[in-house]
Amino acid sequence: MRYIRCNFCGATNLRSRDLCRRCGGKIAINPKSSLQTAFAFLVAAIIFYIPANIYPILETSKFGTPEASTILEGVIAMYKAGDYPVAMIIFIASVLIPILKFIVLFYILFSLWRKKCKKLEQKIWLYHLIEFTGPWSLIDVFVVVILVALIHFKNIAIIPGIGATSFALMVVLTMISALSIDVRVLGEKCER
Amino acid sequence: MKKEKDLLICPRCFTVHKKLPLSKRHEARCQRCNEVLLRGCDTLEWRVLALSISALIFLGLALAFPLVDIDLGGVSSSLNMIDAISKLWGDGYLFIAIFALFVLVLFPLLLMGTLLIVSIAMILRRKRLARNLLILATTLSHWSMLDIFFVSILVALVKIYEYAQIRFDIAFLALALFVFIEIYLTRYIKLEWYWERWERL
Ligand SMILES: [Zn+2]
Ligand SMILES: [Zn+2]
Repeated sequence: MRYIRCNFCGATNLRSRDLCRRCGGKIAINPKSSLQTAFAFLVAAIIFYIPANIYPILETSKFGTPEASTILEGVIAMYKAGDYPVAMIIFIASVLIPILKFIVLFYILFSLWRKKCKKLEQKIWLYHLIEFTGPWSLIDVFVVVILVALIHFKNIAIIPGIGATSFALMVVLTMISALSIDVRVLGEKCER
Repeated sequence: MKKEKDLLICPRCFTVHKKLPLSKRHEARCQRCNEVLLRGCDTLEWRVLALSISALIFLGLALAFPLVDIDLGGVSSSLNMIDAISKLWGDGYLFIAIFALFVLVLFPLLLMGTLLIVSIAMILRRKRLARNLLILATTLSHWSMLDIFFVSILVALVKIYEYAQIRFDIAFLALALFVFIEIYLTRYIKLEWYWERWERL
């Protein structure tokens, strides 16, 4: 192909250029470095997924007795209370989507690495889906921020747990991993 | 030979298209995958100018005033974004406090401020300034998360509505309007289309 799309601004550039004619960013495809960066951030994200789910995301201390709840415990509590839609939203956004994202990112990285061209369009669609839904996993972290601000009594204190920090870090690292994947590599290598 | 400027590559399937003049209220779609490539708009920069000013006003209101008041067993409290962040900071949750400060306050403010100056620079045909700021706006657009925060408020309230009386304040409406405008300016109109417009200044 004669032309290449700038990842940053979307401009069409001649292949022979080094820098984008419009935004001045680098336009050359460098499959190796983008793969390594994305992989490193993905592994880091998976590491943080563990404390994010084991440690409490919210700790309440009622009359001095601390009570902690992890994301899953929160979902179960809401389900038992009858808040089915919200329990579902939280479960999908905080537990399911991160795992699905890890799997999809691994799958895409593997295809990039092995230059597999099967189901190219689905892969690119999945990539865009992940890029779009990525930050929505932060709902749980923001809920903690909101509850901490709203609920303050003499005898009830709400404390954000280690889980919340790990969770936020996990989401940010996954986002950076997804953003450092150059989907053009998929498109390029497989073009006819 | 066709010029680079006259070609458009689909972000989804990488098919190369030739640009045709696009009248307003029309959209160009990819021939292969049907992705929207461009939407016609003659007055993009004026629209961005008006909307980014409104968005900054709404954001100012949302930051300055409490969003929600609750009454929990006779004790009332209110949700104010700046207070919430400084409370987290005061309690020693530095990472979450700094993260929230950036994605909920600084980045949204900077993004809208940048889009405002971009529109002015485009109206005044200051191409260099507009280009540098468009680069900044493109980077910032991934990291402004007030839309997510807005949904989080609703989720948090569902968690406590059985025990508490909830009253929405005017600032909550301002936040909703900000989110609406932000989605319009950065998702409905894609930032790439600002670049297309910039090219034809
Ligand atoms: Zn570019
Ligand atoms: Zn297409």
